[in-house]
Amino acid sequence: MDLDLQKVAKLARLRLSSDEAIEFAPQIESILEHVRSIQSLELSSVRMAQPQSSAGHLRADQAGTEERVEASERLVELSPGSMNGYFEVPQVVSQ
Amino acid sequence: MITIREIQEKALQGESSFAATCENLIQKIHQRSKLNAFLSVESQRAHERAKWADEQLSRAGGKIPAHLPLLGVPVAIKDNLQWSGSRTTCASKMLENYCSPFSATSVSRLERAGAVILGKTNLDEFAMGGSGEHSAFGPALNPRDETRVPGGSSSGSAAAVAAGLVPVALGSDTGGSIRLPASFCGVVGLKPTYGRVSRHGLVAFASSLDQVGPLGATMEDVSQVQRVIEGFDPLDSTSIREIPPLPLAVQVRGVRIGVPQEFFADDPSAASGLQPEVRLRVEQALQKYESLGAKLVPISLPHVRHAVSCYYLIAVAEASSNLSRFDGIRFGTRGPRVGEAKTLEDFYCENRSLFGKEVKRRILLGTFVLSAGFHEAYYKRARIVRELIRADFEVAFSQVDLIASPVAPTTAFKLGEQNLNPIQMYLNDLYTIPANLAGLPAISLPVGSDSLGLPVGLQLIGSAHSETLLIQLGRALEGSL
Repeated sequence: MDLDLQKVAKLARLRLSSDEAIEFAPQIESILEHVRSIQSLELSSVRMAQPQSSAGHLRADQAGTEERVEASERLVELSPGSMNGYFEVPQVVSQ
Repeated sequence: MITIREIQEKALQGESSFAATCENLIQKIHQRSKLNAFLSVESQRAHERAKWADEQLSRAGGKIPAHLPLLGVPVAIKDNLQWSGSRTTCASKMLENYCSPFSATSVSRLERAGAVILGKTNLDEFAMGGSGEHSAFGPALNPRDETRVPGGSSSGSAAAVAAGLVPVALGSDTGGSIRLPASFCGVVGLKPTYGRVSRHGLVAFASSLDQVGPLGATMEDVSQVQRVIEGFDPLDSTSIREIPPLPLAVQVRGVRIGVPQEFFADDPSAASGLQPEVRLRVEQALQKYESLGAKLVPISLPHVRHAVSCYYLIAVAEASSNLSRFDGIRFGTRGPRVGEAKTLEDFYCENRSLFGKEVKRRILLGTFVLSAGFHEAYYKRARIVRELIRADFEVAFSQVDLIASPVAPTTAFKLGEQNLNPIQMYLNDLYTIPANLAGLPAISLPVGSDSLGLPVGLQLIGSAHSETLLIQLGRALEGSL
């Protein structure tokens, strides 16, 4: 089988306990087994449509309203660590 | 259950002010706290707002002003929608202490229409689950039978409406998360057309599938809330700029209702164990439509048998990407041993240990199907199958006006009954997932109960922007079964 759970966990930035690894491996295997049914379909002739919402749009690159600027300031304050309007994180750089 | 009209009429006739109604309902929420429908109740804020609503009413000379259609109406909000100044936990330890600095567009539209928000409702963590049991703060219970699940992921919103704690609530629907709990709790739930209601301020699970919508006791109430929350929003890049106008009145007579053979097949594997009593109630509802002059048309949606597979590949892929933002730096909480982290990776992993099992399972699966070497075989194929499913609906809607099916193969099951088997859980979404994949509107309406008294739901799926048709058809059946 092609699933290397610990490698996937590393990519997902998740640390699995050995209990979780034992529980998840067969569950994920069986889900993959189930979804593999779509691999039997002949799809080479299918043309991919445009993304479903033709209304996709972008906003002008303008500074937000005062209310939204306040909201972003509050957001920084609400983070698990902040100082002088910046996010604060512990030093984690290793040699 | 209670309705918007009852509440507003009582206020208009001086029988019960909005403040008194609000007070009563908050008391009732506390009395029924065992249901665990609410994760937070904002009593003080609600009380002040209800008093404001009473003042507006007297200022308007005892009439509901046209610009405040929901004046004084108590509502509940699923706890993955931001409401400025309140906690938004997504039922996750990860966001246990996160307080919203802004409101979702749908929430601020409710407030602008005069609604009184009572609090935030329980859900499966990050809206991932079909039973409500994957909440980090314990499952909500089904008010119709407290030993059973209310369905998910909008579990608390459906339970709150069914228990008469609010007339209406907001939910979100990625693969059935409004319709399934509506069905299990015997209330009405609408998943609008993708792009019709802004997703701004909805904590993203799978962005190409997520849609905000109302749950309520009646069609009229659901329709009223829908009219308030829908409309273009520049803050959501997938919001539809010009919503096509809806016909004002639709008659049941002459409406063509498609009945997909794949959803009613006798082959039990094809219909995923459709319970005979569910089937019976749904067929009786269809007969009722026939007696009202609708025409039942057998149709086929040949690719829907791949819908669950397709959905669980696309949804988990998008979820793994969307949830990568929860790294403990900008939002929420940090892991208990974060001080011991030696590397940045340790730091992330420690913080992300706060996710619950179902969320981890889906992030892992999503990361895998997007990873080098597997992306083509899984995610890319799923996107193509999604086009085939969408095309099936296009063909079907050239022959019929709407499509009927059960909402779920079963009625509400016992707490813990399906916890150990993710696939069985995922198959509950068999009937609801196709509408999300195709971006179509769909409604869940109660059509009677099984022999245990548990509600059965009928699903009507319409073509894009046919919400009015769904609501009118639902109304025709309301109370007649």
